[in-house]
Amino acid sequence: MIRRILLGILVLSVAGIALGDDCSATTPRFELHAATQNPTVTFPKDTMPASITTGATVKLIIGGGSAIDATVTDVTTNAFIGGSIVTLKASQPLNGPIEGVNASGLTAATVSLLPPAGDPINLCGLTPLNYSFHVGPTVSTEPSSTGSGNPAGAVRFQFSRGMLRLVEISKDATLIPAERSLQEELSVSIDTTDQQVAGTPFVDDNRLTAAIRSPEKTFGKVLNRVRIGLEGQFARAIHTEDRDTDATIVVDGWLPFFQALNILTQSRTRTLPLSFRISAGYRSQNVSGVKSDGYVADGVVSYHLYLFDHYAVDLSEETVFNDVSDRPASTPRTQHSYKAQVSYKADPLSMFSAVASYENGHSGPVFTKLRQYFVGVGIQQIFGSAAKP
Amino acid sequence: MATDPNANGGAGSTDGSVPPAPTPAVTTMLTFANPPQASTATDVATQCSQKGFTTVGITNVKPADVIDFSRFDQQSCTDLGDSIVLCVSAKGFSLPALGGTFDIMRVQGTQITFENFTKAITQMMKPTEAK
Repeated sequence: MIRRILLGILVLSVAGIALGDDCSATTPRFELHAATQNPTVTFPKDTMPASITTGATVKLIIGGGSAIDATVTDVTTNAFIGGSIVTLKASQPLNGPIEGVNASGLTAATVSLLPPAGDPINLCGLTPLNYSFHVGPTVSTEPSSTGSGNPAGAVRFQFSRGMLRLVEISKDATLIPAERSLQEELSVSIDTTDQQVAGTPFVDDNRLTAAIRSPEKTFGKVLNRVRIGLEGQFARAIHTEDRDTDATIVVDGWLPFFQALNILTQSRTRTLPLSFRISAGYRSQNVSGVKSDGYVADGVVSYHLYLFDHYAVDLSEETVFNDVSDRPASTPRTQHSYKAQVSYKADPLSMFSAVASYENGHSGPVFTKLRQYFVGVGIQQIFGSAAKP
Repeated sequence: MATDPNANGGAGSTDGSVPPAPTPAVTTMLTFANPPQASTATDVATQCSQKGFTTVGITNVKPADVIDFSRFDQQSCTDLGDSIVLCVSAKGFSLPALGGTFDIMRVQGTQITFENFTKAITQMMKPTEAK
């Protein structure tokens, strides 16, 4: 029984990690057009079915819900990566509530396209859609006859409901959607069992999470696309008094004053400038009857620079401040960690790069001191070719 | 009554009064009525690409500069695409959504010169159809 639960947790964890991963270069992308709000699918080279032509009727399946009819209004050859960009006209707006479907509004939600002929094609969603999702409730019963070592049997209850939506607060058509909209997130997650097997703890992970993030705002050349967010999470065990409450304010963005440096290079390589993320908040915990509370803060900066035409250096620094009472003796009040990674590419079009990284500093509550080296090979461009510089 | 499409606002006058001189607004309308020229498309692509990169914090991009997409994040790809699309739309052209393209370039680790970037944008731009 416990093995099954652990297996289930493992499967859920792996699924969660998979959802959080980047989409591969071969997966078509789904987004809404910034000006027209029409759904658009970007097909990488050699991935678009021949049946998708201008005027064809296709279906969009969002979050496994009912199919939404759409007509292909335009097919543009992609001059960057090959393949095509397909613009659709859906039979109903996709940026409003879609009733009666079990669907996720998360960026990594499942969106698939059913072409006129052939199997559905999974798409990678880039635009958060404005509706709720609902998975469950899922009730599973483990009968005693399974011989899993739990003669009493147990019922596990899992329920998860969440909402991610964009709230347009500006009608200024010259602003990009991220500058026009607030982002709201709310989710409830319950995962518990009704019985405790001797010698093992309950599966008892129940959370309420809420967040609101401001639209992106740029302040000249000083601050770029800054967002301010409020995040709160309340976790509570049903079978014990354990609880964990976090309330945090988060600010993130970029600093254009610190453009990517090029040192001893013949050509100038440009990428995003220095980025930062600062969060500060209050934490209150009660674990096994031990109460603790206090302020926590975290700051991360990341920066890139280029050397000798073939080397790229990625630098990041993180500072964690933890002033929660009764924290473990091995956890310092302030921790710093640094990471430097050097990548070497003989040719910008090469699919391999040599990578070496160095990490140092305090990191997390487990490692009081971390020092780590890595040397290896990175692989990019497994499919398709890069645009020639 | 035959009308001259190049005539200004007085062409339809029926009261015998002297046609008014063309105003800046009328001149602007006539400019929009003419189809965009190829050189205009290139200029628009360059201006809007510059604006797009400024939107994501990359300033003063020169034609020979190499843009490294491998250090972008997904939101920056979307913002860059949205900014270029909106800018081009405001100048009499249309483009499909580009966030997905830039996200694939990010995952592929694409590096591209700004000059080639604007050429690709120019190829994909279409004049907005008159309605």
